[in-house]
Amino acid sequence: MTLPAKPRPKTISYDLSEYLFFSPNTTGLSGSPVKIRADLFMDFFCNVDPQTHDGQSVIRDIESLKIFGKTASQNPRVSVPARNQSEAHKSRLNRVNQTLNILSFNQSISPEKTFYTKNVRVFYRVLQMEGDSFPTVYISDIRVVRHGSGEPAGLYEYVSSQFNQKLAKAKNTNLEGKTVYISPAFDGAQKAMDEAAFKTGTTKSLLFFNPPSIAEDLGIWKPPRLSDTTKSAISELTNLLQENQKRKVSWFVEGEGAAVLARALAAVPGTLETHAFKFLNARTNLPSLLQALKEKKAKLEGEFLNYTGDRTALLSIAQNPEALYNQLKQLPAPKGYDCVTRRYLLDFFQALGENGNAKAILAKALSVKGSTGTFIDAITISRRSLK
Amino acid sequence: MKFPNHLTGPQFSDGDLVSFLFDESELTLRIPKVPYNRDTMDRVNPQKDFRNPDTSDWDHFGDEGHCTTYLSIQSWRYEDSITHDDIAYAHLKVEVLKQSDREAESCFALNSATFYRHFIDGIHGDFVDSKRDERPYWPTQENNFFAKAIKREYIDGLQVQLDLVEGKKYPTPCAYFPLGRHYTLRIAFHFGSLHYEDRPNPYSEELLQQFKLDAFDDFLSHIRIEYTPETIALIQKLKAKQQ
Repeated sequence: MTLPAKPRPKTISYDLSEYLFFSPNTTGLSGSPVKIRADLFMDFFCNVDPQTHDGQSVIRDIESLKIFGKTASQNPRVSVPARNQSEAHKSRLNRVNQTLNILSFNQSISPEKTFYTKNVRVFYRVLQMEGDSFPTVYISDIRVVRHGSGEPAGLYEYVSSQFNQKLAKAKNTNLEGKTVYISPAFDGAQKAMDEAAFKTGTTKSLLFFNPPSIAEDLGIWKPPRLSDTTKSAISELTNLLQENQKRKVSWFVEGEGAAVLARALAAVPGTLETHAFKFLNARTNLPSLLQALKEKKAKLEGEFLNYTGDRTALLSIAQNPEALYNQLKQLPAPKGYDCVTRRYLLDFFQALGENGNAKAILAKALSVKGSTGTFIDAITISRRSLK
Repeated sequence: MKFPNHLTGPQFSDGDLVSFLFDESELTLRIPKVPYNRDTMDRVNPQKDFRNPDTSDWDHFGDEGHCTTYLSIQSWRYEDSITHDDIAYAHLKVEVLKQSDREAESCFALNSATFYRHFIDGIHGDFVDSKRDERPYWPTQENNFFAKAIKREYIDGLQVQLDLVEGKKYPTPCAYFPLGRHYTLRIAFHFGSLHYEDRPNPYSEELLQQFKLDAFDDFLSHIRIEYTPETIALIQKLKAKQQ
């Protein structure tokens, strides 16, 4: 199995006002306080659902970091005999201590540690900063680490008999008249193929399988970081598009599959006039993807764009609704009954873009900084409102 | 079933009993309760009565009238109860296969020996290139795809291991049970150990592969097939004729 590149932690933020308590259980009433950087909100929101067993395990595990804080207090402080009690002296002393605090954080005097729980990797330090009564755990980064079974990305097809149904890498890459399901990030190819049958409504569709690392590499809320697995998926899809440029192909694209397609399209010269695309819960920058498809004269007909309650997809729509609306408006004029469908599609996605709850979550992500509440409270409230 | 170490996941013995009715039998499965996690699949065919079914939307293949449809498709993950790490994923697919008219007329499915022979010969034919392999756990013609009969009161089922997903490191356990002359139950249990970046799975491959086989046996042990009195009479008549 080829392991993806080792993830690098995000840049450590030095502004302590960006940190807030992780959850009501980590405010320091028992064990050390645990604080987390506020701008991790969107990543955490999209990847950890406190209403699931998985999500609750992750939260409980992160809360358990409060036992680590007791061990370390490495905060350098300047102490001088308290003979000079003047305000000016106190002020100077405070400034010196503040500078030392920042330096200790910047220069990693307290080493950054890593903690794993399920699919989440937590980067933290134990520090006692200005205003902290006790050594406090500062979570500076959380990375959602995907795991997979090692099956390679690419085009798969069924070879059926009454004795078995084998899922094999497609030898024939001629896609004339075929429907191809570009999967979201899935654990295994078999699961993705079964999903393809339900989503496309035919057991004859081909599968373009995307393994779990795709989701991490092409996430919406952080800069892309392409591992070899993701590069190979993009390259294979690029080749398929180029090889079948003049053939009639229907593509059904779901979730992170849209992000792989967006990357592949960028490397395909010429047009895709005989290619029809349908999207479900696209987890990518949708306006840019539609723009690319429009330039390639691809067919975007009927209900080519759909959304069925995927939170990440909704938030990506709500992030830039005007751009999406403009792209939809600029598509070639539909014919016949498609005029009605297009009108409904525009109304639907305009409403999604203006979804108050989604907007509120995006606003919450900005406002959580400096908030007196806890990070998990903010996540839970936002999750409830998005139902 | 006792899970090894701290592994947790759905127990088949706690699953919901779901029945499907066929012309010559009634099938009852223990459908595992899939935990509400992210990225799980939990589909059970809403159609429960398969007497004289409309097979037009089934998956058809070959030119003899064979077709299949799913009864249940479920996926879940096994995790470690201490570390909460995801350790392995499971994908259980239960299908019904409609035999051809010629096969139904031959009544091959109503006798353990002919049922076994029909499927094992077909598997040998499908995997004609898998003569032998250096890996002792890999199914080949040489080891008869690890075929073993699943003992039942009237007609035995068949269990094998097959290479069903290209690129997978370990084979997939599969099972077949006759549901009468016209239909066969076909089951595949896809299972894979999960790997996090930079971390080896704390459970060894040997342990997980053994667990896969044990869990599959456990699922099969809960399958109940009750044939109609007419079918039982026919089974016994064929048996007497053979003796």
